[in-house]
Amino acid sequence: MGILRLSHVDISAPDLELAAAYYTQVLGLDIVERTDERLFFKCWDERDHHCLSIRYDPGKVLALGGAVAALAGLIASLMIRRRRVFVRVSSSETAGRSVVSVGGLAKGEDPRLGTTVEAVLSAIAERTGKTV
Amino acid sequence: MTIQNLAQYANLGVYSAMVVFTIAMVAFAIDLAGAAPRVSAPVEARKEPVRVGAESSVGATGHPAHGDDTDRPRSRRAAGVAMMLTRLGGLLLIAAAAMRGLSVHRPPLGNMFEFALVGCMFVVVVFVAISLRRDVRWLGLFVIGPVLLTLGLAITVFYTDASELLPSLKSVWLVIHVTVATFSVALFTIAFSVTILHLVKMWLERQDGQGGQGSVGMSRIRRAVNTALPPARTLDRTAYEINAVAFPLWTFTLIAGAIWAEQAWGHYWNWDPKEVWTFVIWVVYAAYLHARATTGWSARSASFIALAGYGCILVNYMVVNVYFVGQHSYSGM
Repeated sequence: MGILRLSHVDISAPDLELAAAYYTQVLGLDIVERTDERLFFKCWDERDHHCLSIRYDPGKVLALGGAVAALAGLIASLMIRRRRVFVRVSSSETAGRSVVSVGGLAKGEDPRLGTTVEAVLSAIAERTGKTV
Repeated sequence: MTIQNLAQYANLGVYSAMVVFTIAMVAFAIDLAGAAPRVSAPVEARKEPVRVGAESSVGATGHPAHGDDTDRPRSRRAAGVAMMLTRLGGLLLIAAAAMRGLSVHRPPLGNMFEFALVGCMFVVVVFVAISLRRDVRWLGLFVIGPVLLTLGLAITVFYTDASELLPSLKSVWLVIHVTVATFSVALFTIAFSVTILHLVKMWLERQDGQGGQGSVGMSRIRRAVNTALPPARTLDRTAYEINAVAFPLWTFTLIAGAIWAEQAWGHYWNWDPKEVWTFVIWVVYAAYLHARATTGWSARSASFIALAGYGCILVNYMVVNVYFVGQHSYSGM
């Protein structure tokens, strides 16, 4: 379509003061507005508010890292099943030996809780050499 | 083949898919109607107390056994035909989306028509993918129905001629942000259907369990639905699982949108109507997930929150796009 006019250019700089010094003293632009994170410049024949804006934006990496961490935490909280497994060893008077009982408690619904309990039980049986 | 031709072929693909889906929907409906247990005895005989007692006690498990039907499983040929047609319709939609994309030399995600088309395509693809692993023939009618409705709206009301995008939209983030948004909306749509079925099934199960009325007291259509649907608990869990996959994707949409906004507009968050509504949807579905995990919140109340969330999605797509002016407006979506 062909560019009629360039309104402004927006760039980011790691050091706003250094950028301000360079663009005013070396290139001779005027600062028209200044905020904590942004500088607006214009040339001497400029009719608009500004033609150049320089941004100090150190939070980008932090924002990305935070977003990724939040997403990872969210997925983990949704996908990881929270369950507790209890193992109790008690001596049985009647049988004359130790009885190992395994119990499971799940947070919410957990279709695989039974499998986990059985896995723990068979692991104990394997180590102790006893039968279930 | 010229570009105009391609866009027309894409529309033709949409129309063909709609025809295929209509037949599939009818076949799914026939299959569902066939789920009604055949009661050979006349109406008077069905009111006998002995028979009623026997039926309601079995009916409470969700799979009532009825006389001669216990011997042989009912024929599900209609459902088989419907599933085949659904796959065919899905392929037609993929082809339509691809041709639309080729005709405008960009991903077909630039306006409401393309968004609806790709969304429907994702819904069907996900449904077919789920059907490969589980028996979800009962869900077919309630997925293909909305898809057909959306396609009809897309091609009539939302239709936009194939055109170039504004330069500011030409970004790799268009693909990332909008594709994931569309995909998660597709998942939310399927979950919405399952949630409604969950509420219906809960209602039917409650009626079923009410003092001796049993499934015999129900009309034929209620018995059919009651038999065809899995137990309410299963429906609730299925809806939760789909929502739990869709929610992180929606979160990603929000984040990717913010990143693109920072790149294109200079700020992560501009309080643009579309952004705000995307966030509202996020909050409502987060509330749903919390309600599901909180003891004391019944599955029924949680389901209503999920319905409210989908209501917000509809607002975001249909009301915000059309009536609210914001920074998303220039894209037509």
